[in-house]
Parts: sequence; structure tokens; C-alpha cells
Amino acid sequence: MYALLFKDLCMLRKTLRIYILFLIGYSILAIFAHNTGFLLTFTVLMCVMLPMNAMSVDCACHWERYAACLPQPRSMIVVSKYLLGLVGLALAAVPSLFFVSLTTFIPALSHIGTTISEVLFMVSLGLFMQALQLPFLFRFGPERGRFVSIAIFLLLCLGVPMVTLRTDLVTLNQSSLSDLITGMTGHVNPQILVLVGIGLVLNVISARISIAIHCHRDIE
Amino acid sequence: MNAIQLQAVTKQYPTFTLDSVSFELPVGSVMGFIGQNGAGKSTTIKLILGLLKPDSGQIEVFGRAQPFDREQIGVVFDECCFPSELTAQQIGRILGASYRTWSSKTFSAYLARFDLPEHKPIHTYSRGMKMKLSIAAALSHDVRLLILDEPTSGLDPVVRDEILDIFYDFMQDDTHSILISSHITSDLEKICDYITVIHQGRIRLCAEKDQLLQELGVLHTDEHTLSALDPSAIRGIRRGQFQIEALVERAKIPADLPVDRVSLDEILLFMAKEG
Repeated sequence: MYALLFKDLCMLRKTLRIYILFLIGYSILAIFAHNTGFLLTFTVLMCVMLPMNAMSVDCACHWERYAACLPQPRSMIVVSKYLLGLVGLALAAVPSLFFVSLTTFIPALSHIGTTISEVLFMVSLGLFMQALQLPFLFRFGPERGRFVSIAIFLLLCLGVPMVTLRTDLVTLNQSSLSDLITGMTGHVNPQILVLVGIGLVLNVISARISIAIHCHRDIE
Repeated sequence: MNAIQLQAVTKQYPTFTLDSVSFELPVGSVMGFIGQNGAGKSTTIKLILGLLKPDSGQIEVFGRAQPFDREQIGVVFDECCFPSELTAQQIGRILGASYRTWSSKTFSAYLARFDLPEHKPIHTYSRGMKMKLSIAAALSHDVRLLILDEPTSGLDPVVRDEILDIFYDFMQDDTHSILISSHITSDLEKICDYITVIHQGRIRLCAEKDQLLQELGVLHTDEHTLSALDPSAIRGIRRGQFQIEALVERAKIPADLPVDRVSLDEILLFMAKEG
């Protein structure tokens, strides 16, 4: 497991470096635009894409057939991709949590900050995306599965805000849809933790489905 | 004991069928697996490795059906399967964490022997270097069976010779075995004890190499002489504009007919022409 995760991290080092550059850029933008919402959305989306990127590289060099010959169960290959996504999501929250703590200690900067609940909300969205997209990626491969990911992304980015608007799960200061996507500001109920829990449970179910798919398929 | 044993293994695709493939590779020997492109060599190897699931038949490695002890199996595919961003050192760490019996010392020794830079990404390597890295990785754990799918294709003769030398060294231990598929039959003639020919998904020939080359020969003849021969002596025919070449069993051919020595390449050509 460690081997596979380490391989993915080494392999994605270049991609991660580019992400860090974007992150710095968006952090500066967030400070000047007085809004860290976009930074949070961006980091979560980038990190949700990490398993897909790793699978694309694996596919390009036929790593998966080599990995299937290693002395570890095939299920580990699947679990390592889920772990990569989870590690990515945990890291995605770091810059926003940094801004949260910054605004806690420096009240003068409160206008640029996010709340912990907002961070958790985006992380839970990331968890949903990962849980939904990975079985498709394992079933159809990263190239064809990518389209499913785009569909899920659109569904969550447009569908969920509309549902949350209707059900008052999130009490919003701003009501327009564009503000919802680019700036998740507003106070969030503690029920948001339930969303994170559901996201994690969905990932466990999703991982079991992906394992069943991957273990029963032929590796060409 | 057999390192590999296949019994009536069948795998069906919409446009290709690997049809009831059976052969045995005894421990301590090298088997060359030859056939045209698309004959079913790689499919057979993937079935042995468990990458593909057979529709029917039985596959055993060291007397065990799946799951095998993969610590004992080293694999080299026709192309380097390591992500090109990684370095040899990182590959060593990854495989070191995967194999219980991994030896960093052996791996480093192979890297030094092959003159492979440890800290350069793999995409800077030549094809020969990538194959050497794959072989180094395959040999750096407690491996008893090497399964090689076209390891020498696309390599120059010098590198091919170096690689064959490594296989010679590996076979110094009589508990070691190799299954090697290749188009380059001259390589196989050098190192193999057994030859298996596959054509259109069927095993056409499986025999000891020396015995095969001794027993078979090429007869250059005409239609009239050919029709007078015992049909069971003829293993393949190639009809040219002016003469006929037949792959024959020497023992069944009258002594007065001149039979030339046959090469593995020619055997493969005869099998392919027969269809």
C-alpha cells in the first residue's frame, strides 16, 4: 500500500508543483479580492482530480499490469487511489484553514476569511465527487471515465447548490448561483459534519464497488 | 516439477481465440515461446500472470493454481512499465516496499553493472536502458521464475547479447526457470532448452530445442517427389515458383533425399504458411 501511494506521489510531483504555483496565485487573489471561496473550491477540485491524473499516467505506461504482478492483492491498487484522493482532500483544506486561523487571530482580516464549516462543506463535496467518479474510472479507464467525472462535477456544482438553496441547509448571505460556485460564503449549520460523514461512508461503499470491478476485469 | 503448467487453457475474444493451450515448463529450463504478431503469445503470458482470466483450463505455477507466490516470479514486459517521471532509485524504494524478499544491494549492483544512472528520470533512458532496468527490477528479489514478453525486441545486438548473458547467469541455479517470448529466434536458439510455437491461438509445436532441430529438416523438392513421401513425415510446405520446400521429419524421409538443417525462423515460417 505504502509502495503504491509513494509511487503516485513521486509520479505526481510535477503536477503538485504546478498546483502549488496556482495555489500561491489564488491565495494572493483571495487576499486582494477579499474572498477565499474560490481558493477553497479550486484546491478541492484539483485534489479530487489527483487519482484520475495518477490513473492516466498508470494507463499511459501500462503500470497497472505491472502492479497486478506485484505480491499484493489487486484491491490494494484500488485502495491506494482512494487514499491518494483522501490525502489530497485533507491537504486541500490546509490553505483555507490557514485563512480561517488567520482571521481568528487577526480580526482585522475577517473580511477575507472562510469558516471551518465552509471548508468542511467543500471537502464533503470533494468526497462525494471522488466516491462517484472512481468506480467509473476503474470500469472505463481514465480516458473514458473522465467524461463521467465532468458530468459529476457539473452535477455537484450546479445541482447541489440549487438543492441546498431550496432546503435551507446552507443559510446564504448571497443568493445568486454564480456566487455559490465561486464564493461559498455564509454561515453553515453544524449538520455539515453529517455531510462529511456521508461522504466518507460513500467512499467506503464506492471503494468496495471499485474493488469488485478491478478484481474481476482483465488487464490488457 | 514444473515451473509452469498449462492445461487446455482457452480464452475467447470477439476476433481471436486462444484455443486449448497446453504446455509444461520443467524447473531448471528455458522455454522459448515463438509465434507471429497476434498469434497469442502475450495473451498466454498474461493468462499465466493472472492479468487475464481464462474461460476454461488450468494454469499452475510451481504446482499451485492462482494465487501464486508472486515473490518467486519476475516479470519483464515488452515495454518498460515504470512511470517515466520516476528515477531508478525511486523504483527501488517502491519495489522494496512491495517485495518481502527485495534486495536493495542486488538492485544497486545491477544498476551499476548496467551503467544505469540512479537519479535520472526514466524518460531520459534509451530503450535498451529501460529494458535493463526492468530486468534489474525482476531479478532483485527472490525470483525462481522469469517470465519475459519480448524483452529483446527493438534492441541492438550488443544490448541483446548483454541481456542474454544475464539470463545465462540466472540459469546457473538449477531451480531457476525462464519463459521467454520473442520474435528474434536467433536469441532463443542460444538460450532455450524448449521451444513452443503458437500460431493463430493454437500450440503447433512444443519440444526440446536440440531434439527438434535434429529431428526436423528442410527438403527442397518437386511435386512428384513430395507426393511419394509418407504424409506423416511432412510438417509444413512452402510452394515457390520453381520448387517446393517441405519441413520434414528426417527419420521418415528416404536417406537418398538431401535434407538441410532447419532454423527456428524457418520452422516458424512453415507453421505460419500452413495456416
